[in-house]
Amino acid sequence: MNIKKGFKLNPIRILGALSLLIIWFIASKIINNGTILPSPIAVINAIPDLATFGGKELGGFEKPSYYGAFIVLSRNSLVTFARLLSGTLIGIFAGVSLALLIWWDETIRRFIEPLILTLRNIPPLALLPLFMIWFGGWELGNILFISSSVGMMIVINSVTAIRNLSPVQIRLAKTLGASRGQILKTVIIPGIIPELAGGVRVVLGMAWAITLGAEFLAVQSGIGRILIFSMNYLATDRMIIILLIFIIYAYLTFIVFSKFVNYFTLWMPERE
Amino acid sequence: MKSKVKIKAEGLCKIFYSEQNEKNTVFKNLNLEIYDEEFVSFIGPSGCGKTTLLNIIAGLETCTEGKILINNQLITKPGADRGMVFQENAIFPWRKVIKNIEYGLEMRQINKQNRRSIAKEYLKLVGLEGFADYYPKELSGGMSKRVAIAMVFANNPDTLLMDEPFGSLDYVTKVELQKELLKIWQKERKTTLFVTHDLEEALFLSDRIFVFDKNSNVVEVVEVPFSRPRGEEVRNSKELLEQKKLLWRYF
Repeated sequence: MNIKKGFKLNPIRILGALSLLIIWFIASKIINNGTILPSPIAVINAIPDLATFGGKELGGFEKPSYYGAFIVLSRNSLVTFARLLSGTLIGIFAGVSLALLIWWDETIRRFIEPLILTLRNIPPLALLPLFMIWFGGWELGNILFISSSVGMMIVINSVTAIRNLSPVQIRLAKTLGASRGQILKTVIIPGIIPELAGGVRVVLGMAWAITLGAEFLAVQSGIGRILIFSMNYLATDRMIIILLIFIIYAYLTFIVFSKFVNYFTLWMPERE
Repeated sequence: MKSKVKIKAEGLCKIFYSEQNEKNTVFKNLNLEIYDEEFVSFIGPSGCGKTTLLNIIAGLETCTEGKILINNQLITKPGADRGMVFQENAIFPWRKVIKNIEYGLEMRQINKQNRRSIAKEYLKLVGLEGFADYYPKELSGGMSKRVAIAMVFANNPDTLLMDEPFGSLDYVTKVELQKELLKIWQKERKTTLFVTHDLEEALFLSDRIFVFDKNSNVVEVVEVPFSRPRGEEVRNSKELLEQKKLLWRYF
């Protein structure tokens, strides 16, 4: 994937992006039922309603207002971001470390591989009820849930990345006098970055889904919680606002991550 | 000059097992001696074990029986005293050219200033002065090979193992690099073991040529008669052509 080329605005692209909005508008007119599909205008008008999320005891506002909606959205977005970020980072760190350990020691590899092969077959969301029982309302439970799902995917990805490394580079390092630890640091880790970056890119999208999943079920805050709350009130307009915000967030994280990766993979030959 | 034995193989035997568990014997009973500061080439048909022999000397593979000694010490593992230039394009793509050349020194914890100045010296020696801050992706095949050679020389090994280093290059680049290699070798006189398929290359570079048959036996050791330092006139001489004809008999 080449992000460097940049995103050029041309009429067809704009039309493509607008078509979704137009279809939505027309469909809402035909259906003519705000609970099933509110029109884009109705959705914009519903923004102030977000201010009342959570009621007084959870810091919501009494009356709808744009200001209140902004405060509520920012506060809950921050919470969601914090969960996503800490869970994902811990997951990536744990996954990569485990993969490196598997490379490092044959005994560890024999012990861990069947464990991974078993655990990878559990769909992450199926684990969520268990985490709820183990950790109750603890924030730690959410973060551990996200990081375990992320970690599982990253460890498999990293093990494959290590296996795909060119053996001649390791041999070269050996003949130049590098120790095993030095090979780990100077050959294995930089060598797996490109493939790992691809894996993390996929995992990032998944991490958003997992984070929202955790918020649906387990906690009282975060934008996922607003979504479920809105569903309970059949407030489709508010659900769509959250959906749109979610798209923007996912896109932003993707852009930031790509910039970050490009910096670390400057050495990679360009792919057409 | 050729007095001290540098590398000695005694009764070397190497057995591989294929994925299908078929036994494949490469060397049955190989004995050879290579002298200090000598440049020798190994030639022979593909699959005769030339690369395996280099790998064993490098410490990347072990032999099944027999022993192989360097400076009278048993070879058990890779070491910075034996540098290897590989057939493949072996440099680190994530390191800039200068950092590639520094690699061995960095692993041996030579301080930053020293290793930078050593690396610059070798960068100049292989004619890549202006390319210190390039990434390998920006280099041609011949330039990458120069980096690989500089990388090994900068680490100052006393034995140089070269496994068909110029095999993938075009003729002109190959000739260029052979000249450069001889120039550096003339200066540093490292014991060099050079695997090649190219008879002209072997004759132009070496003091002695070991000819292997397809069963990995040494069938002939040819003493190359040309005096050193050798210039381009050697490459086109009648004597070289004669020697080449003689070597052809083994193929």
